[in-house]
Amino acid sequence: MSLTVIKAGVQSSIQAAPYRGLRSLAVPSGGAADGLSLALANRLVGKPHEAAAIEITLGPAEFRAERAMAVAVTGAPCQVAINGEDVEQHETLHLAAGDTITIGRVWAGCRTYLAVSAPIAVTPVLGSQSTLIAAGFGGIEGRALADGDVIALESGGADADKITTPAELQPFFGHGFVLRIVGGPESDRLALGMAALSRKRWRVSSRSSRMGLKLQGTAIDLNSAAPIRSGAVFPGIIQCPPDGLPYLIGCEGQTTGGYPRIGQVIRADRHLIGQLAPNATMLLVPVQGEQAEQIHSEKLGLWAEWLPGLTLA
Amino acid sequence: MTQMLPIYCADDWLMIRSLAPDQVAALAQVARQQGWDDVVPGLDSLSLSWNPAERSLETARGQAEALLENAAESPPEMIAPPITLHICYDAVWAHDADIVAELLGITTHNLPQWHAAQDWRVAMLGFQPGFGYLVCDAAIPDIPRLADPRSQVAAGSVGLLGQICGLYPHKGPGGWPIIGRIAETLFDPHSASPALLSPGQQVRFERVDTDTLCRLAGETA
Repeated sequence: MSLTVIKAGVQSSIQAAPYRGLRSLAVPSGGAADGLSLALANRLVGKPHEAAAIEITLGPAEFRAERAMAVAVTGAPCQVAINGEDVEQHETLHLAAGDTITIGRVWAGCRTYLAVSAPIAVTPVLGSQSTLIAAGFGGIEGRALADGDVIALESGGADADKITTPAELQPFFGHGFVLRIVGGPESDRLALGMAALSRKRWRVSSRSSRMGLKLQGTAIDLNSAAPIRSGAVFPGIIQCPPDGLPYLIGCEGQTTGGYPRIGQVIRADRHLIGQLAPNATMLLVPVQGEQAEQIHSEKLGLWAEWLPGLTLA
Repeated sequence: MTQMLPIYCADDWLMIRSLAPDQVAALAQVARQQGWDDVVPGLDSLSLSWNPAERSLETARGQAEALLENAAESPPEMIAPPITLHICYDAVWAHDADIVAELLGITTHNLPQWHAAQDWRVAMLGFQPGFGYLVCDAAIPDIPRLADPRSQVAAGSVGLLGQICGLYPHKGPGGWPIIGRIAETLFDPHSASPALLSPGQQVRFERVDTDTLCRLAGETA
């Protein structure tokens, strides 16, 4: 009753719901870096949106089913094969005992999600099965998956009807991203205003992880170097460290910070942060808070019928 | 520069700024009764988050304004009781006692006495799960971060940075100058109340020797 990790690749981990309501204890949110892709994968194997699945970073990775089960792969586009034969993303796939599934290197985006029909037998910690890699708890021993790991599965859920995500609901990932932002608590320090963020193309550096992403581009000028008293940061906050190059907080980023917070990716677009790979480029487009609220409601509306009750982040 | 508003608003969280440390803890206690997703104290701010599918931005802003307006009324006293932490200032743990003592203008020998004599309070938790930021009323010079961060500090290490006393819950890399180590476990994800410290709480340091520290921490010296 298990799934064996043959090749874990760059970083694969068990991810499910974020840790909720624990930020005052300095516990990061974590969970799937792209929660929408996790929900879409789980939908195809008949599981709740935030059920535990395997998050695979960049690929390639390989797994072997030790029993019959249904699986599905969503997220960043890549070649997927069962026993060497190409299969599709975004549809329910059936594995027999002994079958291997390979998830190739991503063509664009950053993270793919492998959902399995049987429940993943990981004891929840603080209300979630998600792996917090930096904090070292959750998932399997609080760490990324390693070659040879055996992921225990509970009985039941051996099958799921074959379905496909409707084409218009399959998120499209390229190498360029548009993230909508609102101002941050210290945006008044931007010498050129929000244009300092929006009138540039930013590139994701290799210093990027689930915790945060360093951006490359033209350094930002602040009109005050006065220190900030440490305070809350949330996923999607754009900090301006002394080198002037933005640092974008990821889903597993720390809960407080002391660098000026010059922007905030809106909630509706935060799942896209999980698809930003090194060298991806992005435009940051300022909107007002009320517009962000509208965009969030419209985005939920798009998936409402396919993913009823979906929560973004 | 534009006038800084007392409340910053994003699309699913807001921050009440420029608060005194005691105000942060008091407002946090009231806010916890209001059903926010997260109530996050900062050193001089309090941040509140919500799910836009459940609460509008306008409602959230209104609730925060009301919270701030009613702050003058005495809030319910629900601060956790004072806690005593057992600290060892022996040189084996206090890697940076010399530098810190010099910045404070005291001798290394007197540093433990100075540190244990302050009235420390938990201002916030941050940086990593259970990491405590403690403040006191003494005038402390701005102690800088280590130019060359350590690749490994022990769990329970006590640092001084800026005007803050920081308590490391886990072993790992660290840039804070270290002046001692406590025996207590600051964070246990498997416990019903995972963090030992909570904002507003008073902290007293009781000096112990290395043998006692190791015994209390369940380690062999």
